[in-house]
Amino acid sequence: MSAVFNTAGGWQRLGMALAVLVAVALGVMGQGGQPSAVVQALLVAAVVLAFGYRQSHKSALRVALLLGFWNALFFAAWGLALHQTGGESAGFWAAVIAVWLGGWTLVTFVAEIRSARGWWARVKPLVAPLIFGVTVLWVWETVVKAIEVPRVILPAPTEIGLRLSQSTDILWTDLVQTFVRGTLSGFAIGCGAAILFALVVDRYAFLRRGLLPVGNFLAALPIIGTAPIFVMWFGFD
Amino acid sequence: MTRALPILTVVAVLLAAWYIAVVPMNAQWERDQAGRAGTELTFSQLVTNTMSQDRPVLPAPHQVVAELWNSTVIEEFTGRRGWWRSGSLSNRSLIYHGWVTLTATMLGFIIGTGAGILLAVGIVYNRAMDASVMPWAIASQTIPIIALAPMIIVVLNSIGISGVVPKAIIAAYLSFFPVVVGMVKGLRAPDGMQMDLMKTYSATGLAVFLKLRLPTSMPYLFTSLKVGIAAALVGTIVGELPVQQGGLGVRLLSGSYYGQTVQIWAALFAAALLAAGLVGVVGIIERRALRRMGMAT
Repeated sequence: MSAVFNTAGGWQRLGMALAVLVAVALGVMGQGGQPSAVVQALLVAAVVLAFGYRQSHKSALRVALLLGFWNALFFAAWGLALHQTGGESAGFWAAVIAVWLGGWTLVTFVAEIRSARGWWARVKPLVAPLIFGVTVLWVWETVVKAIEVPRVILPAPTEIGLRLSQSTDILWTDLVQTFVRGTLSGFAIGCGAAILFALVVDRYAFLRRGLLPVGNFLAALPIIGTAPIFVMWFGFD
Repeated sequence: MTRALPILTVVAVLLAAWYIAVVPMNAQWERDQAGRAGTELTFSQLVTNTMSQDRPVLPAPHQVVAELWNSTVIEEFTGRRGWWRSGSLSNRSLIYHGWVTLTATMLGFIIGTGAGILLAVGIVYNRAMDASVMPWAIASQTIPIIALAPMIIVVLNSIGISGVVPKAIIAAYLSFFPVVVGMVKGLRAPDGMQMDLMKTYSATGLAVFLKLRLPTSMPYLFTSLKVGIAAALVGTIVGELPVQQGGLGVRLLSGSYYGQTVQIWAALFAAALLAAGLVGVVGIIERRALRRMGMAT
């Protein structure tokens, strides 16, 4: 029992194996639609690769196993998210849980790789967050599609991405307005004023004792509330 | 007195600058009025008039103070709907709106702090969570809350949750991040020597957590709590803007709808006083707690 909890990703991959078992069993019992035979096969492959993985393997073999594990999970996830038939059943949800736990297992494996040299040292801090982010986006996509959440409430990430790519020109003008004209100039003004202020405050101990408490109080002002006042003073542009 | 003198001086200078700024900011309206009436304004008339406009561009400090007094004490004790006559707080008083904001802030603060501490414990004890979740916790704070707030409220409303909870969730979202960062740093603060000492006692993991990591993290926790409670108040006010069911945010917005600048400023100062009070209370608890733990400086 202790081997399950002491191995990195031990209980996660056990959970994944159980979920895959449920998904395949429900699939064999003749529920049509999802998960399809391809997805079931990929999930079984992922479980086999996850249990085949050891910290003690040679690094080339470990990389190959991890890549295979990742690909099996990825395409299973792809099939689950994008080829839904409507009316998803218990087998489908078991497969979703399996993919989630599989992603977790993968993150644990990656986080446990200690030897960090060369390019891997630079890439490693990015891999685990990326897998986590992709998994969260995928769960969002799959769940929103499977239980048919109204688009008004929560659209799927693919729809958001589609709209993003279609309206790049208007978003670009908005970005210029917000970032270049607003953020950059505000940042420059704010930093410049703050540095000058700090120089003066640091020069005179009297000001330091007087201004810092007042500054703390003013910082507590809900800045959002000053927006209507400033708009009234300076106009919108 | 040595501590109060510099602060009082700075406040006096600020007030003087404010009074001086009131005249040019509000002068245009007075000149227009005089021009329409065909009269000449003397300078002293201009000054007294700009100090007492109904809808000034920049209200004078005494107008803000008078509005604060009127919409709290006067409203509650002499108003028809005030607490004195009707037994319940008037919905036109800042006390009522401040109370609405305060309850949502406290609920959100508790949720955010609890979630933040749990996440920090997870990050410190789980290597996979440390590697995968922390960058996203940081990234989550770059989402502009002002854009997120209406969405949270609409989504929660559509599944039947309205009232204090959506505001509290927005407040929790803002207050949880400082707590996560502070607690992760605090729980990792014990150095190798202290950890080794625990090992020589053959302390269990739970004992290390309860007797070393948790106490060491307390100064970090209180610093984050002070940041977090002010952030929670801002979050609540942002959450109140689209809802319009009471709260200081509503006072701010309705003031700006109807050009009631004095009301905006009064609500603003009430919010700042509330924030300062909350931070002060956390500070008092901090001093008490750290002194009892033998950590006060």
